[in-house]
Amino acid sequence: MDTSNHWYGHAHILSEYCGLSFEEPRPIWGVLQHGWNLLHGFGPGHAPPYGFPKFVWSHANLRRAQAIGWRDYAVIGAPWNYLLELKKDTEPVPEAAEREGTIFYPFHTWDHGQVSGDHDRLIAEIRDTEDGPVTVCLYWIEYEMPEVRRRYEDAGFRVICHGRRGTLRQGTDTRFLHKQYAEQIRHRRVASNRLTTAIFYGASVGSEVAVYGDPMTFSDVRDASVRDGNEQARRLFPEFHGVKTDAEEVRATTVRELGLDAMASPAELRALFGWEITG
Amino acid sequence: MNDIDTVAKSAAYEVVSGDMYDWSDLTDARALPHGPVLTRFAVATASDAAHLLVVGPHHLDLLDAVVGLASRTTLVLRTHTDAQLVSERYADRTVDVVCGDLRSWTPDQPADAVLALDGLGRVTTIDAAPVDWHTISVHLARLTTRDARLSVVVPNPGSPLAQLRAVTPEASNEDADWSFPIHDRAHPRGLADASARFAGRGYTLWPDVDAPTLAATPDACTVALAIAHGRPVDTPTLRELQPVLAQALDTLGTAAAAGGWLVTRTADAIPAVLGVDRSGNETSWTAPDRSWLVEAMRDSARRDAAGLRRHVRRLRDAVDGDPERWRGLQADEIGLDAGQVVPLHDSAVKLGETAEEIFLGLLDELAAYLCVAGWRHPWPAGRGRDELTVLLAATVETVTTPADVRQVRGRREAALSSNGMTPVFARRTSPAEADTSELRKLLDENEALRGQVTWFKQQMRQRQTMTHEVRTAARRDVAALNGRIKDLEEQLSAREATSISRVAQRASTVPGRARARLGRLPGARRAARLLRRALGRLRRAIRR
Repeated sequence: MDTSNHWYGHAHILSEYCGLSFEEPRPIWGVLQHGWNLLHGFGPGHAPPYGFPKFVWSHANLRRAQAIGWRDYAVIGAPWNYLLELKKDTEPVPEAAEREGTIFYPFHTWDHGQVSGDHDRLIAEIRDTEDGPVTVCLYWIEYEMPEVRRRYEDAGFRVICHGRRGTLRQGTDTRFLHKQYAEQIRHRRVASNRLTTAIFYGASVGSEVAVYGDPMTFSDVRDASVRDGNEQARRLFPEFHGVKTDAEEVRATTVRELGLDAMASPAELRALFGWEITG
Repeated sequence: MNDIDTVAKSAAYEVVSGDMYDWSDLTDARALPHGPVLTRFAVATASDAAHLLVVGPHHLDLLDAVVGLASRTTLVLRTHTDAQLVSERYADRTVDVVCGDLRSWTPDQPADAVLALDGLGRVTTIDAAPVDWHTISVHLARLTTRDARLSVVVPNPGSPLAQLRAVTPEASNEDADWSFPIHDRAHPRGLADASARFAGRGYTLWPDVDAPTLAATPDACTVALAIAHGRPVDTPTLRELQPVLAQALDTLGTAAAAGGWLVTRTADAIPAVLGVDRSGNETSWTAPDRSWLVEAMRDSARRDAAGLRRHVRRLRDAVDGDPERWRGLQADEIGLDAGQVVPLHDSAVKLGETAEEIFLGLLDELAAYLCVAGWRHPWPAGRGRDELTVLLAATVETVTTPADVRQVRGRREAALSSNGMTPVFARRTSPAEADTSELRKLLDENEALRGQVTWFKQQMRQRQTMTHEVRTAARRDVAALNGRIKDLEEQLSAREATSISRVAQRASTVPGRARARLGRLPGARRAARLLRRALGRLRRAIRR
């Protein structure tokens, strides 16, 4: 099984949705898309082996993959969608009046990269923009960098982290998305300095969304070795960019990009993942 | 040569120039136009005509259906054998039979209805130099009134279907399987060209022009219909080409790939899609919005998983709602109308008992269609027809297994077979039906692979045995060394600490080069390690 299937507890949520164990998901025959992106569902350096099923969030990912000759794709929507399905009765999204403040997700780095940007400038922009209490959610790497974390704390923001995504099935916070869900549904707004997965998640639970501020970038993008994608995202999805956004437009795009209209039934997922014993 | 210029024969039919002896188009190995689809067009053309002209050979059943519909009927045939046959058959009817080349005949009354359902290939004599299609069509127009009704069939020599069909008979080398290839530069290049020549409405004919099971106007003829009715002879070789055929149909358009075309001008309106169902009965399909479920499924399979799931759900709901309506249908007989699936005709055939079985059978055929049409690959690998059916069923929470699917298919095919029908999408040949030489080759390959697997297993076992032996030996060595250490510890503990210190000091004063040389001796380093460990333990014991 591809170890990225466990990141953020994706495999766990899908397993629970299929009526199987949350704690010990069975190996998925294939690889799951683990975050929203402007590619074929996987990172620039991630090339799943030939003949290995690929489970992506949206038809846009599928089309991009087909364009470069990749096959064996199934569009199933984001694991987040299935969490929403699981939560709809036990922990429904509260009314808008019961939600307050903004949760802000600064653009984050990853295990093998480094983000370059001006956090102080971003903090100033958040202060100028948001009128309610602000929660800043840092990725675990920045959360464990005191020099970054302290800046946001000193600015008077509540600073949190949803957990670690884990590597090689070690250290994964399997309830990462549960925590993210709990935080997002208590805030009225979800914002970021980049169009990221969290923004789509926010839109899916009825939050106002906004993308503004210093977009920052990966350090290695400065030497043009990695495609940044920020400008492309602005061109493709202008409806998300700005301090105020149109809820209806945002919602329509979110349905497409998260594949909320492309969810599979538990039986289909079991069949796709090889979780069904067939003979 | 027989002398046919007798009073009796010439009294039975008119003879004009170009009449042929010792020849019969009606009993020729080549098929004659017939069947319910062509008959429907023939009747619509002939009904209430003042003068019906039938040119070229036609199947007697078809002639029976039209003779008597018009006030007067003239049959033009080029051979005496055929002229004799039909003149006797219709001796008591108002039928004039003419024997000879069409170009030699001049009617005393222009025809207001023309049937040429065999095309224009067998209306002129072979005793003269051949004439092209255009010349004959121009002549035919001169024999008719300006606004005459007509039904003219035009074969499509470029049809991939016709060409695929031509592949197999060559191997048999039978006269009956051979036909003279058409190399006529004046032959219409397409349906639009043919329609323009006669100013009529064009239909595509499937799978061939002799006995089409489907006639559809180009805009109503979907790829699904074309595949369902135009699929080539069911042989393993040709079946491999079906995805290519589907692609060609999709790209070229169905009209270019049709087995032939029919140009018509009739008084009665004929539906855009006219065919016979699988039990052989004539049926007119009205495809609402010109949409077929199989095509919608194919379109969705590639890039619209949500749409695919929606179609399956609609089908499931429809079958659950009224299983009787769906019991006798195959997958290509389902239309889509305003988002609802609709059966395109009624069928008395029983292909399933329960709603679940009917639904699964239809899904199985849809899966087969996706595979045939070459759309399996967008799905995760390793999913053939059986597993794709399971997956499609799973989209609506119906849990089944490939074994269940095969069982349902078996029952369905048995029911079809008992009604003289064939499955819409043929399954792959079972080993028993396969070519024996191919089967032999596969068996040999299988045997060779089995041998390789056995060899690998033996290698694995050998390695496991070796590993086990090495591990046992190592365990034995470690045990011996532990015993030795114990002995040394006991010996050393008996001596005084000072002597131990002395030994240690001596050891440390040995020059580096000498120590290095000593270290090269086999087992010296290990002995030194053991010694150091023993000394350490002794020191600790003494300290206590």
